[in-house]
Amino acid sequence: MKLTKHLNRLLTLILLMIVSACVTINVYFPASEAGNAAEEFVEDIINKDRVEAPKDSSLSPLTFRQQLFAWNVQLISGAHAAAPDFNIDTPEIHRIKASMQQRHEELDRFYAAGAIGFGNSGLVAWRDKNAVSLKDRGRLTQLVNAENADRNKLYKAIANANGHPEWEKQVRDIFDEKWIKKAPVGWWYQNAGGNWKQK
Amino acid sequence: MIVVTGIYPVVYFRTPDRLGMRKLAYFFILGFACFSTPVLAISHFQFHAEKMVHNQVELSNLVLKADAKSHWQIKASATAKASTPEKLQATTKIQTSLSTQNSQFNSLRLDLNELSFEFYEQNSAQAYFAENMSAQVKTRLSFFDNQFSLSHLNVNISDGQLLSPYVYADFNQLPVNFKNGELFFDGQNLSVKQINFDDGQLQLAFKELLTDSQGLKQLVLEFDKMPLQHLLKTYISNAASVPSSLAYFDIDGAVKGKLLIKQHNLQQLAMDLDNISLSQSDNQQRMLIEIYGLDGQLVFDRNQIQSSQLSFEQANLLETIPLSRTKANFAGSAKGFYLTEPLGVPVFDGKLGISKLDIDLSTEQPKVVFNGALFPVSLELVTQALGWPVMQGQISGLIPSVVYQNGALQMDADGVLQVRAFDGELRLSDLQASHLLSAYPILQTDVELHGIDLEKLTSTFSFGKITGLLNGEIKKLLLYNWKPAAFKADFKTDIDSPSRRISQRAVDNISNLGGVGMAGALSRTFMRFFEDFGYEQLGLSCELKKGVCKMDGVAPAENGYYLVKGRGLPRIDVIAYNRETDWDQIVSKLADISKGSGPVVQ
Repeated sequence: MKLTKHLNRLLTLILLMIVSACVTINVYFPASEAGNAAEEFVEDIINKDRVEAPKDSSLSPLTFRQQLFAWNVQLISGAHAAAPDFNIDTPEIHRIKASMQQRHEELDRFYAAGAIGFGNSGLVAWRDKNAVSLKDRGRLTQLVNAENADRNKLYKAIANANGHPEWEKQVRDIFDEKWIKKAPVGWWYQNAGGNWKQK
Repeated sequence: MIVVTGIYPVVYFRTPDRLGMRKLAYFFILGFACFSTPVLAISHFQFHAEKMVHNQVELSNLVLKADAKSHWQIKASATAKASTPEKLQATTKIQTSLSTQNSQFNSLRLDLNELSFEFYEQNSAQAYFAENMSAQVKTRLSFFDNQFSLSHLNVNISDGQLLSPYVYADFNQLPVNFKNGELFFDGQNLSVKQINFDDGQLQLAFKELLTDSQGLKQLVLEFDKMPLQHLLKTYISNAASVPSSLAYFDIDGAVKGKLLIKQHNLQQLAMDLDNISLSQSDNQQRMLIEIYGLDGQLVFDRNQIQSSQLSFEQANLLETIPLSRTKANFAGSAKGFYLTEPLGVPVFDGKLGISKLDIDLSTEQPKVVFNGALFPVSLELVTQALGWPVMQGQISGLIPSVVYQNGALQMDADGVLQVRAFDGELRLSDLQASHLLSAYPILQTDVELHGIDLEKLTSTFSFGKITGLLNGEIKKLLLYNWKPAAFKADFKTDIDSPSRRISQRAVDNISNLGGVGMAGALSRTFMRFFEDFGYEQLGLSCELKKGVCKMDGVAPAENGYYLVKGRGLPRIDVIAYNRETDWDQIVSKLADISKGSGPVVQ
C-alpha cells in the first residue's frame, strides 16, 4: 500500500507536471526602422568602392553621382498636398534610375568636356560637338538619345506613381532645376533663355 | 590681261578678287571652241585666281592650266569651301586633271585631301560628318543630255573618318575602295548602274541605285559571305542613330543574300544564314541571350507572303535557362509574321510548345501574341540552375495567351502555370512582366498553394521537422531582379491534415527568428524530453511593402498573434508580438537556419 501511495504521488506529480506543461514561446521579430528602405536603396546604387564624398558640392562628378541619387531624400515636397512626392519608388522608377546611373559612368567625361550639358527642359542637350572626336561622337549621340528617352520615361513614371499623370510637366521642371543645382563646377547648363552658362 | 603664247598663244588671265563662275565657264567654252577651230589655235592657257565665289561655293588659290596638243589636258588645283547655313559646311583641297583623249570620253582624275564636311538633313535630326578624308577618284567622264556620265569609276578613300546615322568609318584603320562604277549625275540626283565596294574583308555589289530629293529611292544590293562581326564592329557600332545597347551585342558568321529597295522602302530581302552565333549582354557583362548554330533561309517580300525557316543548335537565356535544338517554319510580309507549324523548344528536360506566335508589325510598336504550353520540366534542374536550394518536383503549365508589346509581357486571365512540388501544387496566374531580358527585370504574379507537404518542405530546407499540409496564397508577388519587392502572403496549415506535429528543433528555429537569446529555450525546460509536439494550426501572413513586412498569424493573442497554436499535452504555443518587421533581416535569418548555422546556444 505504501508503494501504491508513492506511485500515486509520483503519478499525480507527473500528471501535474504534464498538465502544467503549457509552454508559451514568445517571439519578437526584428523591428523595422523608419527610412531603412530608402537608405538601402541609395546604398545599392552608389558604388561601394567610392570614397566618402566631401560635403562641398562643387567638387568632382563623383560627388555629383551620389548627390544625383540622394535627391530622393532631399526633395520632400513639404506641406503642399498637391505636389509630387519624390520619395515614391516603384520597380519601374528604380529600373530607370539604375539604367541612368550605369550610363552616367560613360557620360561623365563628356559633361566635363563641355560637349553636352543640361538643357532647359530636364533633358541632356548638345552644346559643342566639336569638343568630341568623330569616333566618340557616334557613341555619345547614342547615349544622349538613350538618356533622354530614360529621362522622359522617369518624369512620366513619377507622375503616374503619384496618381497624377498631368503632373509630368511639374516633375520635369523640378528636375530641371535640381540637375542644374547639383551640377559640379565646370559643367554647362542652359538657362531659361536657352543660353549656355558654365557653373 | 589675256596672254596667249606658243606657235599658239598662252592665255593667261589674272582676275581681281571676286569674279563670277560664269566668266570661268566662258573660258572653258572658249577653250573647247578653240579646239574645234584650228584657225585660232590656242595651245596653252593658265588661269589663276586668289578667290572665286559663286553662290555658296568659294574657291581659293585656284590654278587652272590647259594644254592642247593632240588632245586637251586641263589641270586645276584649289581649296574649296561650300557653305549653306543650317545645312552644309564643307572644305577640301582639290587637285584635278582632266584629259580628253578622244572624242568619246575624257579621263578625269580628282584628288580630294583634307575633306571635311557637316551636312544636316532638313526636317530631321540626321547629320553627316567627315573629317580629313582623302579620296582619289579616277573615272571616264562625259557630259551630255544635261548630265554627267561616269564609267570605269574608281574611288579610293584612304584617310579620315565619316560619321552618319547608320555608318561610322575610320579610313585610317581600313581604307575602302569603290570600283567599276557606272553612273549618271545631273547635279541633283544620282543613278548608279553598278559599283562594287571592297575593303579587303567585305565585298558588296551595288546595282540600280537611284537617289532623289528624299534620299535613297532604289537599290539592289548583293553580298556573298558578308562577314557580320566585321560589318558590325567596323561600320555600325559607332554610328550615331543605332541603339546604345548595340555596344553589348555580338555576332559571328557570314551571310549571303540580296536585297531590293524600291520607292524608298525595303521591298525584298533574301538571306542564307550558316552557323551564325549571336549574343546580347547587359552593361555589366552578364549574358542576357546567346544563340549558337543559327541556320536558315529568310525570304521577305513587302507585299507578298513568303515562307522562311530558322533553326538554332543551342541557346541560353540569362545564363541559366538552356534551350536546345529548335527549328521554326514561319511566313510573313511587311504586315507581320506567323508560324506555319507549331514549334517545340526544348527547355531543361522538358519542352515549351508554341502553337501560335504572331508578330504584328502593322502598329507603331510591334506586338507579339503567343499561345503555348510548358511540358513538365524538373524542378530539381530549375532550382539548381537558379542557385536555389534544390527542390524536387515539376513545373508545367498551360499558356492560353501571352501578349508582348513595348517591353511588357502579359499573360491572359485564363493562363495558369502549375508547379508541382512537395506533393502539392502552386498555381501562378495573372502573370505580368517587363524587361525580362535585361539587367532590371520586373515580374508580378498571383500564387495559390494547395496541399504542400510540410514534412518534405522542412526537410529540404533543414528547418526541423514539421508535419502537416500547407495551403496559402501570395497576391501580387512582385519580383524585382528576381527578388521579392512586394507581396501579400497568407499561409495556414490544413486543420484536416492527418498528422500535425512540430519538432523541438522547428520550434527553436521559429523562435530564433525573433532574435538570439531564445535559442534552446525549450531545451532548458523539461520539454527537452519531448521530441515533437502536436499543433492545432500554424500559419503566418505577411504583407511586404518597401522592405517592411506587416505580419499576422493564425489567431489573435493578447497583444500579439499565434504563429503556432498548440494541441494536446504537452502543449506549445508560439506567439509573436511585432506587427512590423524588417524583411531583409528575416530573409537572412532564414538563410542562416537553412544552412544550419543557427545562433549560438548559451
